[in-house]
Amino acid sequence: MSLKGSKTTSRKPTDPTPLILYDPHAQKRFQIDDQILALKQQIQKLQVARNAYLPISSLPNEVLSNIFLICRRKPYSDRPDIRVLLTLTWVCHHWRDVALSDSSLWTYIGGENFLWAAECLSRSKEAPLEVIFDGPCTSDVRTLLLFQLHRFKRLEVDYGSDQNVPGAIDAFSNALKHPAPMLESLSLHHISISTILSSGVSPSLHTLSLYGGFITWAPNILPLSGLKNLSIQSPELQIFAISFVQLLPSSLPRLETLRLDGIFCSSPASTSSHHLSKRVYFPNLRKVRIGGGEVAPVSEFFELFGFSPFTMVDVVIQTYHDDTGRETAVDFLRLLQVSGALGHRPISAWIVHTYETDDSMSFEVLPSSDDEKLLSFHFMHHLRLEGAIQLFASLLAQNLRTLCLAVVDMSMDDWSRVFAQFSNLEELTLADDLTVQSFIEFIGNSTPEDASDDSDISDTDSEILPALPFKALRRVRFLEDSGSELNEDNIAFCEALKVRGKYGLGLEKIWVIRGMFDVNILKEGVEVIVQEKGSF
Amino acid sequence: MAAPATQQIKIRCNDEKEFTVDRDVLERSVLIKNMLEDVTEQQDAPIPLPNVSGPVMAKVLEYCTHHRGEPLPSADTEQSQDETRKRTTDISEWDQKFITVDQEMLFEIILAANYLDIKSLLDVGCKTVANMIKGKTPEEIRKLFNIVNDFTPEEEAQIKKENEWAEDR
Repeated sequence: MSLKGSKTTSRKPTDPTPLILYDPHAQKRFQIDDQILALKQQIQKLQVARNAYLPISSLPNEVLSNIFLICRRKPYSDRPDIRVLLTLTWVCHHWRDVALSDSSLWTYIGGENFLWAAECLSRSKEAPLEVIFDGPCTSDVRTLLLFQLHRFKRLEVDYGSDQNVPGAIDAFSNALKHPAPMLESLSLHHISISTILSSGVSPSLHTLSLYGGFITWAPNILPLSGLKNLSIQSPELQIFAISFVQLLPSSLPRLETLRLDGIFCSSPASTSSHHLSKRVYFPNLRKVRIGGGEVAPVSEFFELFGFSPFTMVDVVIQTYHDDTGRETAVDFLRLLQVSGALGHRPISAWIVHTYETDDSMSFEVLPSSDDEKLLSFHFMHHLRLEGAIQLFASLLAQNLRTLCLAVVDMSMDDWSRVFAQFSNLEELTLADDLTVQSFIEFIGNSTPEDASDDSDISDTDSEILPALPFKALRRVRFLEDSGSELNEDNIAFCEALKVRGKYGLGLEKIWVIRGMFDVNILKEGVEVIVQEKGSF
Repeated sequence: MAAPATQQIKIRCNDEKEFTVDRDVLERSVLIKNMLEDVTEQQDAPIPLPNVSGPVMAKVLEYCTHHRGEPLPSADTEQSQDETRKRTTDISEWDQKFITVDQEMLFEIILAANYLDIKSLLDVGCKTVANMIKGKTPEEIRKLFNIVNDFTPEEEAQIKKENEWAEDR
C-alpha cells in the first residue's frame, strides 16, 4: 500500500508549510490516518446497516416514497413544500436514495436558481414538469427550462404587474409557439393572452387562468376545444364581459368550470330585458363563479345565461354602504330565484359572518373553506340580518344542513325564524359570545317545562316535540372565544340539549373548545369532544 | 353469482391465529376480494395470509369493520381522490384514534395495508407518518425513528450546498 503522506508526494508545491525532511514518525502517523479512515468508512457502513434494521426501514421504498409525497403537500396550496423534501434527503442514506430515485418528487421547478433548476431537471428524469416563474429569473434559467417545454405539464408565469423582466414576455411568447403536448394547465399573470397562445401547441390544455392585464379575446385566439376550466380575473374584464361570455359555449363546448372576477359591468349592447328562451346554455358547466361586480350587471349575467340544475353557482357581489344596498341585494336574490339560477341546487353549508364597521354592518355568507362542492354566496353590504334571514330562508333554507353564526345580534324572533325555516339543519356552529348567549336564552325560553324530567316520551311530549326547534340537529360546535360567557349558563343550556337528545331529537355530538363545558352533564347519550382552540 | 354479504370467511395469519369474518368486511382488501372471486366453490379451509400476524390483523379488521359498506375506490374515483390527497393531510377523528398506536404497530399496519391492498388504510398510515415528520429537522426525525446519521461530513457538505441552491430559489 502506498503511503499517501510520503515526503515527496504528500505536499503540494504551493504549500507554505515548511517540509520536515526527516520526520521519523511520519510513516507511522500516516498509517494510523489510513486506519482511522478505514475505520470511519467501516463505521459508516455499520451505521447504514444498522439503519436497515429499524422498524421504519421495513417499509417498502414505494411506501416511503408515498410518505414523502404526502410530506411535500402544503395545506391550501397547489405548490409543494420543497423544504420538507430537502430535510428528508438529509436524514440518512436510505431516505436520500429513496427520495432521489422517485422522479415525481422533483417535478416542481421554480425559476430562480440555475443550479437548483438543473438539479431538479436531472432528478425529475423524464417526468412531466410543473414550472413556476414567479420571481427574479435570469435568462439562462429561462432558456434551460423552456428547452424542456415538451415536458411541461403546468406552467405559471407571474411577474406581478411589474413587467420589467427583460426579454421574459418575448421568451415565453416564442417558446409557446412550439409544441407543448403535455401542457395541461397554463396560468398567466399580467400577460396579454393574444401574445401567448397559438393554435395547436397544447392539445392537452384543460385549465387556463388569466390574471390582470388587458385581456382581449376572440374565438379564433383560443382553439382550445378541450378546455375544461377557465378563470379570468381582471379589472379590464368589463369591457368585453358580456360579448365575451356569449362566445364561450360554442368556442369552449367542454367547459366545466368558469370563473370571472372583475368589475363586471354591462356591455353597451346588452339590455335588461332578455327573454328566458333566448338564453345561452353551457351544456357541461358544473361550477360558475361570478365575482367582484355590482348587483345589476351580475343579475344581467344570470338573465343571459342558463345552467343545468347541477351547476354549482358561486356569486361574489360587492356593494357599498348606501341607502339602496338592501333593496338591490334583495332584488338580486329574487332575480336569481326567478331566473332559475338558483333553482333547487344542493347546499351543504353556509358560514355567516356579520361585523360592525365604522359606518355600517357587513354581512357575508361564505362556503366552508375546503369543500368545493358547496354552493355559496358572498355578500358584503349593509343588509340587515333579519332581512337576510327571511330572504335566505325563503330561497334556500330547506336545503341547508349546516350553519355557522358569528357575531350576530340574534333576537328571539331571529332564532325562531332560523329554526322554523332551516328545518333540515343538522349542524350548528356558534362562533362568538353574543350568539351563544342569545342561543342559550332562546333554548331556555323554548324548553317546555314538562320535557325536562327523565321519563320516557309520552303522548304529551310527542305533541310538543314537533313544535320544538332542532328537529334534525345532530351536532353543535362552539368556536373560538365563545366559552367565557358560556360557563355561567351552561348548565341550563346543556340540560336543554340533553332533553332534546334524550327525546329522540338525535343530538349526537357536541364539540367543545378548551373544556369550557361541564361535560359530565352531557355524557348521557351525547358524545362530547373536547378540543383545543385551533384544532378545528 | 356474488355471494351474500353475510357469508363468513376464515383467514389464517402467519402466527396460526385464525379469524372468521363477514365477507363484506374482508373485501375491503382488494387482495382478498380477488382471491375470493377466483374461488368458484365454497371452501372451508382458511385463507392463509403469510405476511400478517394475528395482532396486526385484528387491528386491520377493526378498521375494515368500521368502514364496511363504504364504497371502495374505483379507477374512476381514484384520480379525484389523488387530487384530494394532494391537497390534504387530514385524517378523520375515528381514523386518528384508531391509528394512535406505537411506531412498530403503525409500520406493521402500513405493511399489512400495503400487502392486503387496502388503499384507504394505507393512506391513513402514510399520512400519520407524514404528520409525524412534518415540521421537524433532520436530527429531530432521526431521533423520532431512532435513525443514526450515516452521512460522512463530506456528504453532508454536499447536501448542504444543494439545499442552499434550493433555498435561493
